Amino acid sequence: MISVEHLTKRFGTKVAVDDLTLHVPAGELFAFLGPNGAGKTTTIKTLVGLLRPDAGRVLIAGHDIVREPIAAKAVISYIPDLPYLYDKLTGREFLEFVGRMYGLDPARRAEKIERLTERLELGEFLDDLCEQYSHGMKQRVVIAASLLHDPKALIVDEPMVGLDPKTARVVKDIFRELVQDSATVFMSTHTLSVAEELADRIGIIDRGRLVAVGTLDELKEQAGGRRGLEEMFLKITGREEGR
Amino acid sequence: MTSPLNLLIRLRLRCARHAVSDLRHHSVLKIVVITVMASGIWAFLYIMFRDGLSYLNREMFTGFKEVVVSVILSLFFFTLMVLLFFSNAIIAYGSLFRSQETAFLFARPVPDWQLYLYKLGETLLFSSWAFLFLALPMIVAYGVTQRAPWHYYPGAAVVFGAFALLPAVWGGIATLLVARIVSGSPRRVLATMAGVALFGASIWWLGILQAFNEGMRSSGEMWIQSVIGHLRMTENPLLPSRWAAAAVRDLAAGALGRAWRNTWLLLTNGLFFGMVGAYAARWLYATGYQRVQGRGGRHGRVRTNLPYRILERLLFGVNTQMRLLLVKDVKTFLRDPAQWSQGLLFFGLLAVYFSNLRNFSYNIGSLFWSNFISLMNICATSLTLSTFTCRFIFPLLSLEGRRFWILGLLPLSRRKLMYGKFWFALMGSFVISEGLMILSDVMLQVPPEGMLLHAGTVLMLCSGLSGLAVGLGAVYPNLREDNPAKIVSGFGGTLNLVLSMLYVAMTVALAAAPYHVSRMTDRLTHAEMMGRYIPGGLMLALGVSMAATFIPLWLGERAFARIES
Repeated sequence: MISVEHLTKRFGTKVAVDDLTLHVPAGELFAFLGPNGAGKTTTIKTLVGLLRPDAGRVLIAGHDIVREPIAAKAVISYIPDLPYLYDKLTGREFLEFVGRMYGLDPARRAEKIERLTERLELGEFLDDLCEQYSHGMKQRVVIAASLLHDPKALIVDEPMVGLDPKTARVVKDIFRELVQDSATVFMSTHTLSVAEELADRIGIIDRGRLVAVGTLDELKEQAGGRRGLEEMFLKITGREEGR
Repeated sequence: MTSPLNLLIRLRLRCARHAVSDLRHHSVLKIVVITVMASGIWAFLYIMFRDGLSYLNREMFTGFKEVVVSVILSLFFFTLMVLLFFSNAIIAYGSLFRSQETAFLFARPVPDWQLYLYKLGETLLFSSWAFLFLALPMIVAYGVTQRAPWHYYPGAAVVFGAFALLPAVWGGIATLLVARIVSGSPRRVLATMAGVALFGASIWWLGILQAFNEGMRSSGEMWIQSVIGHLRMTENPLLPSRWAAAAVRDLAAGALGRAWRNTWLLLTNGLFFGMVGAYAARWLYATGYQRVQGRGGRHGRVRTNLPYRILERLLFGVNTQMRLLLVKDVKTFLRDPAQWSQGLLFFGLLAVYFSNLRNFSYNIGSLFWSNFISLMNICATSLTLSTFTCRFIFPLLSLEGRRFWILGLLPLSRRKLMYGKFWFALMGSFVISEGLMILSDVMLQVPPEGMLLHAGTVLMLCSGLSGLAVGLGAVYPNLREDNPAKIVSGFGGTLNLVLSMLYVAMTVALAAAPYHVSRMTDRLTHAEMMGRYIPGGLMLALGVSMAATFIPLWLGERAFARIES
């Protein structure tokens, strides 16, 4: 579903992502980990077409994000780390707008909005202007908007920031259900417990290079039998001595 | 399926409707004050233009009237066109390449050219309305003085709409090209282009002043011809500003056919270049956007901290926390070229003009002219200073908004935080404006007592303007906004602008005008002037300045203490 081939991205002289190759098949939840400044957000922004690769390419469901951006974007959804909403729209109007943007017919749109409103408990504030929302409320609306068109690939940057424990549980369940329905979830996070709990495979990026990728068991083996993901992460990224 | 562009336009209309209905929740006083202020500014401009145009209609200009009015209209539209082009280009850059909305929409299946047109429309409205608001009094005044038929007024509105289109689409295309082709920061490149244009315009303007000055020593006819000769380039038939000027002139004269032809010319060219822009966006927008996002690395590193360490040493008498705040604000200001470059441009132009004063021989001419020019210079410096405090100082506290938790957690009183901003504003503005005044005084050979008076006036002005900007900035903060331009355009910013202008007018009239006017008219003796009028004016100006400094700061301190973030 998501194919990254020899992706390199530079900012001036700094190489943010260095020759990254990665394939995430349909029906997999992939957790993308790395220390601050390792290149996670750059990779994600390149996956969704906000940044252009300096070398290599990104294919989403077979569509090159640079050459066929509209076809690729039609099947993905992106949840950024900082949720963007139109201040002068209500949450419902925002969801309507996104649904129409993806060409959902009115009945289906209404049904999906209704379902997501219930699931993410948006009802209490959905008809208020977005400028009045807290960070967590905004995040919930953005998550709902990202699920409206049943994306084949959901790309998420730090999904749990600002969510209360109950909503975080709901979001985790939604991610797992998407995967069961053969969608792909590509999730960058600093919350190692979330990765440990949800991910089918985990990739660790450090200084722009993919330094480890595999299932939790494979990573354990690679890290010399360390038990928790935190220990493995610190070992693989060479930050163990900093503890 | 509805096209994304259509959806986006409907979305914006929906947002606008909510914003309008939201007005109900604003205080009636606020809406009334804004309406009264806007009407006041509008009426002032109208009267000024009407009286100016009526003056030209008098008999002394018989034979020249048509030429002069035609040149004035062409110059007016030409200036407007250049300003609109740069304003559109700079705003389009922020809108097309830097806004959060663009990032959101770029990750959706929206064709690039539709996204471009949507953002360009937004830019056109955002950058053009203020110019059109300020230009409208001139157009109405022209219609009134020419006794234009009723259809002139709706017709002129159509001409304006068609005219605003071309600079906007050119600005959009320029932004696309700069973002795609230039390797440096596009905002910096566009700002440099605007700076170069402004500098060129100031050289051109100096030429006109020179002609004006030389002409005054010759006959009236020669004088007008000399000035008009310098302005002729604005009448080039290939310039859209000329088409707009001709359309307005023809409308006023009742020649509807000719007026319509020029309007059509504006409209078709605007639409044609709009299509060129949309076509260019297919190729340039996405790649330009990705280039802009992917830029960086080279400019982020700080080379030296030495100047700031020196500044910190120079502030040895100041309390440590206040000193740290001052240095932080100076660093923040100087490391943001978008901030200091605008200040540098305006004050730099004044400096160029002041350094050229001797070319006009004002210093060896009559006392009238040297005093008149000196008074005008202090007015120009003060008004530029007030623009500076309104644009850069007023938003300072609001800009702390998203970082308020940092300062909020420090063991530092809010009073200290606010006064830190005040001292930063006062010090910065005094160094710049006093430097300019000294330059002007030296060039005009102003006597020592005049220089001293100017220094005192400038100090009072810096204190009053800083107090107003910091105090009102604390009374009307916008802690959710990161864009200073938007903070300034709110109610508090508008109030600060109007009060600053009034304060400048009062202080200059009270502190500096008596000295210069008495020297210009020669009606008062030196003893009368020094013994009565000047001390009296200075005392009053001091009172006004203390009020302008301390009342807003006191109000700001109270309001700022209550802010929750």
